[in-house]
Amino acid sequence: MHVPDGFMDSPTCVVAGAAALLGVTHAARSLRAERPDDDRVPMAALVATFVFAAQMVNFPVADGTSGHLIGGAVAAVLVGPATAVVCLSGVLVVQSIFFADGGVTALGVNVTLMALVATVAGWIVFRGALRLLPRGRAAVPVAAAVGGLASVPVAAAAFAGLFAIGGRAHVDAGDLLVSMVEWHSLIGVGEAVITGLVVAAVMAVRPDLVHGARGPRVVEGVRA
Amino acid sequence: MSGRRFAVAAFAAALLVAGLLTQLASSHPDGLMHVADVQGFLSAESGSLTQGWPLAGYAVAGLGDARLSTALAGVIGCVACFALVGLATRRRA
Repeated sequence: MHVPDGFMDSPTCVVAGAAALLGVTHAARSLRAERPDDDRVPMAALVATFVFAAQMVNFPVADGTSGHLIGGAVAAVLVGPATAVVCLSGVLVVQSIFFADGGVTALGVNVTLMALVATVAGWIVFRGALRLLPRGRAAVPVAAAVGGLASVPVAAAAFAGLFAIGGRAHVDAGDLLVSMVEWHSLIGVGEAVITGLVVAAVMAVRPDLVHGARGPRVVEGVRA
Repeated sequence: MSGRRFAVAAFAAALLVAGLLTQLASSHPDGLMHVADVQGFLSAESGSLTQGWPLAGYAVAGLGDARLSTALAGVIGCVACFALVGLATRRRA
């Protein structure tokens, strides 16, 4: 969902850039609180690396269209939402500068949509799903998948809203919203599968490193 | 699993995804670009400021072999992300 240069007008890029900067600065202040007990494992750097790699792999969706992982939900569940914001922002900076993937003037837009909106939406829905599911370890990857599923259309809707305000083309805002949410709900299925599998894999070997598995709702013994 | 082993395994998994799994990636436009096309604003796209840079488009400039080029770009990106986010989140005394 990388927004290229040219889609958004300058004021929107500036405002989104300011929002991104505020969000990332705020997140950076909460890094310490989310650090795992075993802080010899560079979890944030590993999660960013994996999200970057996974984002390169576009999977076919339908009708000559593809999608790829955003990674906000999987990152939030693994390292906590604030750390995830920093991870995703780092990935977006590298993609924009090194690989010309996502515009440079649109970097603030992309950080806002993917590092902030997708991550926070993924985390909130994960927490909600965890509350509804039966207690136990198995609930964590399932809830993570649900968070991933929701995060993509929510970010897509945020794009539609932003484009309605500051897009460099006139489109019907309602049509755009429906179209974005439809396609990205399909892509969200892929996001859910990858998110669930990755969280399940880490839960299987080092559940103590999964931020989202901390807390009273998951069985005792998760802290290894 | 020890922390060191976990870290090595996770980094290796990311390298495998970036270096090998990318060979199977779909080259179709993603959801946003598809919607932009259907809604008629795809042409609003202007080139990125960095589109002439040596790794633009996940290809290494001057490397003829497309597979190798993608794989190398992926590995470089992994290292860059690990370093950047590792620095940004490093433990402070």
